[in-house]
Order: sequence, then C-alpha cells, then structure tokens
Amino acid sequence: MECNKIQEKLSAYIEDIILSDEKTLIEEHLKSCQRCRESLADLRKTIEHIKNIEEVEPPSWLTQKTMTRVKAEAETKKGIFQRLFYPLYIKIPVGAIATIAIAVTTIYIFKAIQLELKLAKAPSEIIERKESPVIARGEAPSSEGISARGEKQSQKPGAVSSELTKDKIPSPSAPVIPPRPPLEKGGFEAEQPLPAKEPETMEKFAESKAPEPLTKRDVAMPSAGAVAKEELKREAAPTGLKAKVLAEKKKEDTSWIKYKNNKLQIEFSYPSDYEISSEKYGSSECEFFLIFKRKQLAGSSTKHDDYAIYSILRVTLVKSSFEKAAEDNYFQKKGNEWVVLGRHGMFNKALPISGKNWKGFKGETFVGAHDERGYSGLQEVLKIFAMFENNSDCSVVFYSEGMPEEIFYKILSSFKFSK
Amino acid sequence: MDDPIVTDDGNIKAEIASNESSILEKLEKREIQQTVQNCINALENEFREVIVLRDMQGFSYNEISNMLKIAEGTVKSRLFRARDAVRDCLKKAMGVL
Repeated sequence: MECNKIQEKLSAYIEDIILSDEKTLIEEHLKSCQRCRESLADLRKTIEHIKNIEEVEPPSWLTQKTMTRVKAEAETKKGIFQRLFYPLYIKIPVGAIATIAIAVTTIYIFKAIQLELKLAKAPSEIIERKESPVIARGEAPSSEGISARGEKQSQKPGAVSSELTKDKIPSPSAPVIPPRPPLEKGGFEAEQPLPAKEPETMEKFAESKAPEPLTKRDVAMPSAGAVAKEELKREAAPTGLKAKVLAEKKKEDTSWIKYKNNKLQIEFSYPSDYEISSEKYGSSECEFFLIFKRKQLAGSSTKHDDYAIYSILRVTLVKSSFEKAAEDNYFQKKGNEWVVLGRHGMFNKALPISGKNWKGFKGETFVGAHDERGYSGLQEVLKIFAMFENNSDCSVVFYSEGMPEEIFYKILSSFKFSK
Repeated sequence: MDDPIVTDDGNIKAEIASNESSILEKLEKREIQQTVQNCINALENEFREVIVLRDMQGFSYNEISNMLKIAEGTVKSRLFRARDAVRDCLKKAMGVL
C-alpha cells in the first residue's frame, strides 16, 4: 500500500473506526515505513494539541450583542403581528361593530325571506282551507293538485272530521249560498263519481250548520273591518300556526286605498300592495275596466317570486246578465254545474258565493303563469267572480285571480254606488 | 516541618510546593494553544466546523453528520483533511510537534 493512502486512513486508525483487515495492513505498513510512523505520531500530537485548547470564554459583550439582535428581530415580527391584531382597545370595538353589522344584516335578510315566504304561503293555505269542505263532499280536485291537497284527498271523504266541517261552515267571508242541488251530486267529473259518500257529508253539513248562531252572516254581511277581524280569528285559532297568524297580521297591517270614480259613481277600497295597471273607458256607457296588480316586492325578480305574487283584480262595468258576465269571466255552465275554466280546457268545480247585494262564483284552477322571462309553468290560482247587479243601469263585476279570498271579500264589502 | 525557614532577611513561612506548572511552562502552553487556535482559524469553514465539533467538543461522527446534514463518510474525510492541514500548519509554526 502506498504511503499517502495509508496516511489518509491514519485519522480513522487513530480513532479505531476502521475495518480490522485494513487495520492489520496499516500496522504492517507502519512497521516498515518510517515516514508513516512519523506522520501518525504527528497526527496524534496534533489531535492532542487541539484537544488541549482551552475553551475560549466568549467575551461578555457577545451575549449582549446576540440578544440585542434576537430582540430586534423579534420586535420586527411583533410589528407585523401588531398590524394584523390591533391591541384590545381597538380590536374589541371593531369586533363588536362587525358582529352587530352581521347580525343586523342577517335579521334583515331573514325577515325579507320570511315575508316573501308568508306572502307566497298565505293565499294558498287559505284557499286550501276554504276548499276542504268541498273535498269532504267528495269533490275530486284536479289531478295536478298540489301535494297538500293530495294528502287530504287520500283520506276517506267521510272520515274528514266533523270539526273541520264545522270549522268551515260559519265562514263569514265565504257566505255560501245554501248549496244548490246540482252541486251536491258529488263531482261533475265523470271519472270520479263518489255518490255513496254524499248523503253522509250532507248530513254533517246540515248538522253542524244548524246550531251555529253564526249562520246569520249568510243573510247579512257585516262591515268590512268586522269581516276581516272575524276572519283573522277564525283563521288563526284552529290551526294555531304561528306563521299564519303572522301572515294574517301582516295582511291587516297593509293599508287600504280608496278608489273613487265620480264619472261612474262607484267607490271601493283596495289594499295598498295593489296598484292600478290599466284603466279604460269604452265608447258606450257601460264599458269600463280597471285592472289592479299586486306590486312587485322589492328584490323579487326570480321566477319563483313572480309565481308567488301573481295576483290581479279586475273591475268592469257590464250591461249583461249574471250568467253572461260569469261566462265572460272564466266561469261556465256545464250541464247543471258551474265550473271554473283553466288553461288548455282544464276546468274545476265552481262554488257559488254571495253577499249582501252581490253574488258570484269561486273556483280553483290552473293557469299558465308568466314572468319577464316568459312562460314559467302552470300555477294553481283561485278565481273569484262577483257581480253587483243593477238591472236599470250598469252592473259592476269584480274578478280576481290569485288574490287572497278575504281581501277580495273586503273589497266587495267596501264597494258602493255613490249615485 | 512547619518551622519557618530562617534566611538572612528573616524568617520565611514554609509552604507546600504547588502542583501547578511553572510560569515558563504556562507561557509555552499558551503559545502552543495560540498557534493551534490560529491554525484552526486558518481552516476553511467546512473543515473548521468538523474539527471543532469532533476534537474540541467531542461529538460522535453520527451526531456531527446529523448536525451538519452531511454523510458520515464526508465527516470522516473532512476530518482527516482538517487534521492534516492543522498538522502541517503546526509543523510550519513550531518546527517540531
């Protein structure tokens, strides 16, 4: 082995971290090589010298200097932190204000949504309730009926509790004309005749009606305010649905605007959330119509919202008979029955209604709904037709689609000829 | 044994001989240390750090390899070259080791 190779290994040899055969080789070489022996001795001495070096005591200022640098570095870091997290006296008020702002915004949004939901829900609920006696009498609603109705439908008509029937009967807002014989025939749709159930429900109907003192209202309409209040109590109490009460309250809160037409000498009030969308006089004496639409709610531009607020009222002056006027307003006589017409020839049973000096029909059916994007699908609406007959002069017709029933009746009760 | 030593100038209290090396020895040692220190300082950083860690502070090869994030083989070769350099340096400075 060459000397320089041996010398390279000497360092490891000294520390005894070398393979045993290498060690033997080195030892053999060392015996013969003077130079390498010296080299080894020198290396040993060098290591000895190095090991003997006293640990140098660092100067006292070094610690101080180092720590100063450490502190300086830490402080710059703290500076960034301070910028991110202000001291508490700034942080707390800022946090509090932000929290309040978020809470207020949340409540505002929540309320807006609630209101829209209520408006969307309230009319359909009322319609549903009003219509249930009809269902109880074995009426088969349109096949496309909403699910809630579907559930009701699935119950046995006879099993619909008498309290439900009782609940419906004294309705002052829907002063039902003692049902006409043809209407009691249990469904005009030939596919679903349910004549067997009819007598039973009729009985209940009569039974519950008889002892009710409230039936008086069938004869005389109370004042508009009273109607509304009664309505409110009646609607709210049995269901106990909080949302409904709120919706009703909301409805009562809406102010009413008086519409007076001196030329035609008619006047009535309408809710302030409706607005006149067109008003036309014809050439002849009895040609006039007035259309109200429910105002767009702020922020309700989606298909869904339009669907929910679809509601119009039309006031017309006519010089035709009651039946002709009804036929001009989507109600039609089919045999002995009156039906309400919907889209594509769909029709549904119509119920006769009447008040102090008016009579008409109401019925629920499907219509095609539109919004600014065009056709938005079928929508079930309540159509109500009412006519103040005036044989000597023009008769006044009120017709509504999608308007809550009690509002319609309230409008009717506020109507008068100012002649 | 504890009797004072009588000299011409008076008595001197007898003292136990110190084990400490003589001043000369101390001076010499300090000089050697200074030389070694200088030789180590003259090394390049990567050699200085292994020699300080191994021969002065006594860390194992494994520990040094972990500390410096280098392979153990590298530690060995650097150490050898560092020691070699220090030896040459000392020889130049002191003549004989």
